Amino acid sequence: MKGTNLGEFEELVLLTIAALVNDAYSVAICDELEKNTGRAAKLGVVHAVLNRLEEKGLVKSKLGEATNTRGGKRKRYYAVTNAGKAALLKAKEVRDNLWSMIPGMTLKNI
Amino acid sequence: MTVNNPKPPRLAEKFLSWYCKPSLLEDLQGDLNEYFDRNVKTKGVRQAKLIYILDVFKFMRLYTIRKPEFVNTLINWIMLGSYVKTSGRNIMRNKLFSFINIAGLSVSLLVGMLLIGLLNDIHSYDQFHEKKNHIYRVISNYQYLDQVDEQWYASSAPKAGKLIKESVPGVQDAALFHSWANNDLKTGDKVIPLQGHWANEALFTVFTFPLVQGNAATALKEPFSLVLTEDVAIKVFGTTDAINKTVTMGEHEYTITGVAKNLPEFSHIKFEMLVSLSTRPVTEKEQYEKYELSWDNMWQGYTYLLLAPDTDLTTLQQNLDNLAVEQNKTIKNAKITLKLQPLNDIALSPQMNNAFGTTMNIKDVWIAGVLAIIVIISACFNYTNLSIARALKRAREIGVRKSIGATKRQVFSQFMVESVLIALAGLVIASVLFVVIKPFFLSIDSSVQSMIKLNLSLVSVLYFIALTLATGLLAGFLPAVFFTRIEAIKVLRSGMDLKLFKNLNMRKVLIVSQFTVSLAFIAATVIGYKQYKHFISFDLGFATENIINVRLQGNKPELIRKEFESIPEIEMISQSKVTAGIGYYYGGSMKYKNPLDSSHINHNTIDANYIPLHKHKLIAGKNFNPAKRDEPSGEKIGEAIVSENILDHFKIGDEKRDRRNYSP
Repeated sequence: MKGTNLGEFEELVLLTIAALVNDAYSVAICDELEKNTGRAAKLGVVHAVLNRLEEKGLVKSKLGEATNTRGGKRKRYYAVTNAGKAALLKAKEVRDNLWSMIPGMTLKNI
Repeated sequence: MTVNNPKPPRLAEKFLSWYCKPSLLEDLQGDLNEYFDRNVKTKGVRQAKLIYILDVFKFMRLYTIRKPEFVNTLINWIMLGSYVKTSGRNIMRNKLFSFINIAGLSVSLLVGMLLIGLLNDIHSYDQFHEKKNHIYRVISNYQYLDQVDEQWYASSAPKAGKLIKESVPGVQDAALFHSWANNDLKTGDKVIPLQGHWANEALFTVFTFPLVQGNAATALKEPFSLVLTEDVAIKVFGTTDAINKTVTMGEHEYTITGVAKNLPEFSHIKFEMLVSLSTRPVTEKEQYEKYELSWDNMWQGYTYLLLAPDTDLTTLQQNLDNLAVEQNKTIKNAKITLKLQPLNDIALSPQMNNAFGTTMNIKDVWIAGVLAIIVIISACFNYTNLSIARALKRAREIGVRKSIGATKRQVFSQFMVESVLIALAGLVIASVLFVVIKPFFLSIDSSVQSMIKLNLSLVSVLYFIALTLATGLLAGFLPAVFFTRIEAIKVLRSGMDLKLFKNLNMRKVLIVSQFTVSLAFIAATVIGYKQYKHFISFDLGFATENIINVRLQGNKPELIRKEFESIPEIEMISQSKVTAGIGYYYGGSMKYKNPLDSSHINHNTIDANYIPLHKHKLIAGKNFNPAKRDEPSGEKIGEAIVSENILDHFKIGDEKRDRRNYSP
């Protein structure tokens, strides 16, 4: 089915959500991505990806409690679904497989 | 956090919540707020605001934009039915209120409809000419010595037309008119007075006046050629098959060389017959040779140019200027300037001297337009005021509506629909009034009567409906806004909250302006009527009652007098050159003793019955004596009756009356 494959950025976002566990909301995801990848993550882009992931059923979201910050607006927290976990595992598996096929020397020489 | 925390720009916030899907909105707003706070700290308030605005636009993506939901549209349609139904009930329930509103709006709509009809007619003028976009009229300005005259003349010298056609590039042809060829056409024992012009053969090339009989290229070429319209041909000969028949006009015989299709109503050029322009050198030999072809004879000729489609008007104007400079050398004391006027602008043009055909002054139309708009707006104010005044009655209804879930939008629509319905009812009445009032409106002014027909067409009906909808929306807007603001909880809680009527300054302004406009209109009407009455019943110093003035129109006075004398009801008949007291005079100069001291006087030529008929009072002397016409010596001596003013002016009176020279 088209759409079950993960794009590179989608995979990164999904991994970040998983890594942040209970604190995965849009701004935090952006910050975490920037910290780990070293490249600027635009809120608009992340937002679009989150939306797409939710459409694909890889993440689910719920609104948090209202707080004083953010002008009293609630945060939307994301969590990886089982399908999401499966997709991540599958992606890792593909990579591991490919890694295992590479003769050790070739890359160590870089 | 401090109290005066910088806030994100409000408009951008509003815009975001307008376009964004409700399910995504809150989170998005929160994110943007968080970033905004962050940016305020790192980049300053201004920068943060700018980024916020940009972000709001960046978030406008397919997945964030709210989609118009089918259900909503459906609900709107269903609600429209409900609005119409409740509006109808409301209109029926408050018969007096509805009647006043409908009547008020219908009168103002009527004014608007008359204006639309008028504009529609004017814009259809001269549209039947195939080459209408390439036809221009040459108009002239005449400056005597240093006296600059801003007025343009619709007429131009025949010489100008000729020279332009010969020497100016881009001019394909020039149709020349010489106005006022009106004459009696005689054939057999029939005498038929006809109106028309002299025109050259290019007329049929430039304009689209199709001939049903005859050759358009040559019809007006030879002297003594005559082109009649179909109707006239039938009137004269009983048939349109009239080619080569001869008729007499004045002392000359003319040959019919063409029969033109009847003119469309909306043609500013009007004629019953056209005489070939080449006739003039023969019939008006003396005048023609003397000055008809001189550069400053620009009073009776009209020139219409047909330009090549790609002619540059600026170059053409330069050529005209050069031509004028060249030709102005041939005349003394005056300077003539030429300009082009597009055919499409002629029917509705600024005031011009020597106007040709039927035209309307653009200024008058503007004034009429502004007045019509004032009347319409005033009627809308009236509706607004009456509606808001009824707020007490309607407030509960709105309270109930709102408490069972009506949105602001729905309340707003309800009142807009109501006012549009009232306006549509007004349109029905206005249409009836339109038909009734049409003949009266057309007879307001002779120029209106000759120009405008006010016949209904699909376009004008569509405009009427558009006008009605616009009026309905305009009238309903303020009440709708007012009612939308009513808070359900306040009006339902404890009867009526008087605070409902606070902040109604707007309404006061409307009332005052409406009263001002109405008073101005009433005052203008009353003053106009009084003036009119004053003119009619003003004591001119002579009797006008039961006197009928009959224009002789070139007929023999003795014959007419004889005919009239046989009618027993006619008590007395007198003859005069002009009708006194209606603003027309014959001018002349009068001298007394001193041959160098001549004064301008207005005079009338009358017979002996004139004075008794009009009951003029003579303070000295006696009426003319018809019996004593000529002196025995045979020398003709005219007699004059003068007014006291003249005696004062020439200081006559102390002395005996003396001879005075008088040359009319």
